[in-house]
Parts: sequence; C-alpha cells; structure tokens
Amino acid sequence: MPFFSLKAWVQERLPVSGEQLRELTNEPVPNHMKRWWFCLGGTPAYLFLVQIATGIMLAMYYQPAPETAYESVRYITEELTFGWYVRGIHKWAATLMIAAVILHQMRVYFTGAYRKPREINWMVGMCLLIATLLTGFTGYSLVYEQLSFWGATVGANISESVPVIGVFLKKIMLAGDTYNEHTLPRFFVLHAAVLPVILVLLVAVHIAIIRVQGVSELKFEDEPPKGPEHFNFFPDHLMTELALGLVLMIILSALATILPVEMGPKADPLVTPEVIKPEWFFYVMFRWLKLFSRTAAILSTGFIVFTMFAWPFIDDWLRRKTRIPEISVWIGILGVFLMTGLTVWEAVVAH
Amino acid sequence: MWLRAAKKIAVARRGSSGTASDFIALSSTCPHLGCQVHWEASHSRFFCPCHNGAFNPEGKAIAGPPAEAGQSLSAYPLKIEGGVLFIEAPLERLDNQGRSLAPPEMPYAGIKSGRFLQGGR
Ligand code: HEM
Ligand code: FES
Repeated sequence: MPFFSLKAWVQERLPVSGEQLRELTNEPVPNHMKRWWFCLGGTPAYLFLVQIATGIMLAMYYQPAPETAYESVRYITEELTFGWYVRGIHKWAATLMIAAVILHQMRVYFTGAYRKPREINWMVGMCLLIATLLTGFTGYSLVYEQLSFWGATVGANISESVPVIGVFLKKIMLAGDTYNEHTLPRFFVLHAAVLPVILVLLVAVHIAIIRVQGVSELKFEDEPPKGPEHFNFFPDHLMTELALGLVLMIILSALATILPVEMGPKADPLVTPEVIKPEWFFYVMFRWLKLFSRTAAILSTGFIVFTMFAWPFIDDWLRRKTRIPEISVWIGILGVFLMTGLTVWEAVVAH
Repeated sequence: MWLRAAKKIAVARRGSSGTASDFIALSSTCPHLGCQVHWEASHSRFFCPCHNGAFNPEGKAIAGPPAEAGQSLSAYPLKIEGGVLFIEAPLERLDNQGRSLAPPEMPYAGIKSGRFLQGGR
C-alpha cells in the first residue's frame, strides 16, 4: 500500500471510474474500418495536429509585415537551426492534409455515407473542406513571395465579384481597398488563429455527430459471414490510427528532406511574373477562371459549391425521379474526371 | 514607407502632330482580377499572365476573360504644357502608419518624348 495514492486523490475529487472512462472512449467500430482507406477521415485530423505543432514553432519567428515577412521566412529556411525542417513539415503536411480531405470526401461520396441520417455531417464536412482550403490559401499568402502577393490580390478581386456583399468582403479581406501594410497581419491572424479555431470546432461537431450516429456500415463479399460485427475503438482502432500517424511522420520527414521548401522570388507589386500559378489545389479554379468571363466563372463556382452542400437532398430527389440507384456514382465519376482533367491541364501548360 | 496605390503606367507615342493625342497612357492593371500586364513586342499586345488576358496597343481586350467581358485597360487623360506631357493620375501618399497624406503632393507625372522628367511617386 503506497503512502500516497495519486489515483485515490484524483478520484476523491473527480469521481469518474475506469468503467465510465472505458464506456466514454469505446465506440464500437464496424469491421470494414480495418481497411485503411476508411481511415482517411483520421488522416486530416492527425495532419491538423502536426500543423498546430509546427505552426506554433513557425509563429515564433515569423514577422507579418511587408518589410519583414519575406526576410523572416528566409531566416527560418536558411539560418534557423532545423527551421527548414519545421517549415518543410508544415508545408508538406498542408499539402497532404488537403489531399486527405479530398480523398476522405470521395470515399464518403462513393460509399453513399452522406445519405439519411448523415446529411448534416456531410454539410459540416463541406464547411471543413472550405475552411481547410482557406487555411491553405491564407498560409501561402504569408510568405510574401510573388505568388503570395498576386494570389491575395486575385483572391480579393474574386471575392469582390460576389453579388451584394462582394465589395465589403474584399475590404474585410485586404484591410482596405487594395493590398496594403495591414493586409499581411490580417492574413496571419486568419491563418494562425481564426481558421484553426473554426477547424477545431467543426471537427468537434463532426466527430460528435459520428459518435451519435456511428460510422456507416458496409459489407464486403469476402468478409466472413459470422463472427463479431464490430471491434473496439480503444485500443484496436486507435492503434491503426497511431500506426498511420507514424507512417505519415516518416513520409513527411522524407518529403521535407528530399524536396525541401525553398524561397520563391520576393513579392513585387509592380510586376506579375510571366508564369504564375497558385498551389495545386486551386488549379481547378484557376483554369476555370481562364475559361470563362469573371462573372460566369464565379457564379458557376458558387452554383457548384451550393450543389455539393445540398447533394444529399439532390441525390435523394434524383434517385426517385430517374429510378437509377447508382446515379450519384456516375455523376461522381464525371466530377472526378473533370477535376482531374482541369488540374492536369493546368499543371502541364505555362499559360 | 509602403505605397498603397503604386501604379505602373504604360506610355506610348503614336504620332507627331505635336498634340497630346500623339500619346496614349494606359494603366497596366488588368481589369479582370488585378494582375499587372506587360508589353509583348513580338505579338504587339499587352499580355496578362494570370488568366491569359490580351490587349491591343489601344488597351482594348482581344483575348482571354477580359475580352469575353469586353473590358479594356483604363487610359489616363493627357495634356501638353510647355513641351511637357502630363498624365493625370491622382496618387495617394501615405505615412508609415498607413494614413493618407492629403492632399496628394504631386498629382501629375510629367514626361517628355516618352521619358520621365518628374516622378509622381
Ligand atoms: C479537416 C477535415 C476532416 C476531418 C478531420 C474529418 C474527420 C472524420 C473522421 C475521423 C471520420 C470517421 C470516419 C473515417 O475515418 O472515414 C469522418 C467521417 C465523415 N466525414 Fe469527415 N473529416 C473531415 C472532412 C470532411 C469532408 C470534407 C467531408 C465531406 C463533405 C466529410 C464528411 C464526413 C461524413 C459524412 C462522415 C461520416 C461517414 C460515415 O459515417 O461513414 N468530412 N470524418
Ligand atoms: S487578372 Fe488579368 S487575365 Fe485575370
């Protein structure tokens, strides 16, 4: 018998038993979640934690002003001990996080997991997608490279074209009518404080809803017909996610070392470089803007985003109208081809 | 000091009648989404690298999204006084807190024969 039991001391004050804790964490997880591609929802969550950790470290050296931003990032990249590594991980984890969110959304879409009763969580997921893309956008605006400056300028002018609130949106975004010395601090606060808090809240709601509804069940033909339908979240599923996390950390370290993040040319408000491209996840939007006039491109994008939000209801209506049960799969394949096509097109040409 | 509204203006001479209409002064800010256009001598056009907007020497859009929307590069009014060409380009000067120093100290940029005499910025 120890002289002082910490467990007894805590339990006297917080009367939670081990039994209750187990009850709280042990979500039964259906068997198909043993397949790694069903864990794609956990991947962005893990990468988000990586972003918080590396982001805090970067924020200790980053200086958000047009005169200092580029130099401070150069210092992090070229002089600070392990600065290149931390910046490299932050950059690559952002890339993988966006890829993982897109893959996760595709898996939810093609398995029909957005259908009743999961319509609400699909819409929460759409908010997560938009918040993630905005975090990526505000992130690369901070470096004050040419791409940072022209991306922010074009982005602000796009929001200006939004009907009714456009002018106000642009003003809020740039802290004025054009890019000015208050713009970078604003992007920094959005990127490092506002959007991450929004993401944390959205992920909390997302996961709470999953806990209430359970993950959707799916059967495979090669699954043994008898036997338990579920396994335990703790420790079984957590172990899968931890193993995934380790693999991701190795991949991230390898990427940050083999393909290190470098400094692009510094922003010049008077010269747009001859070849300018956003990050890969905006290639679709970028190509779209080249194909149509400003109003047409922006209104059609708004329409597509709205359709994606309302998809659980549109899908329900379509299936009843057309009596084709897999209609969403065909539309989904078309959508994926279109997105991939536009992305590849943008990637291979200079203009 | 950070200049809020730094602008580049492309000035070209197209005649020799001795009046302001010999010259044209075009804003280099693309009317589509605000990137900077540059002159492409090989194609005799202004080109915007952001979404492939192209403009003829008069500033009228001839290709890309600005052409679809019928947009042009905005032209600045010109006048000649005492052999000096003036471009009417209201410029705003800011102090280092970003406050506007009104009224603008030098609202005109003067050029002669295509070369700057006095800078407006
Ligand atoms: C930061 C971004 C996101 C995080 C961290 C996240 C996290 C998760 C996690 C951990 C799950 C559990 C199932 C799984 O691992 O596949 C899940 C399920 C789900 N996610 Fe996400 N997600 C994100 C973005 C999205 C997006 C973009 C959508 C779609 C618009 C979405 C829609 C859903 C839906 C409907 C479910 C329930 C699926 C089911 O029950 O089978 N999520 N999410
Ligand atoms: S900004 Fe010039 S074509 Fe889009």
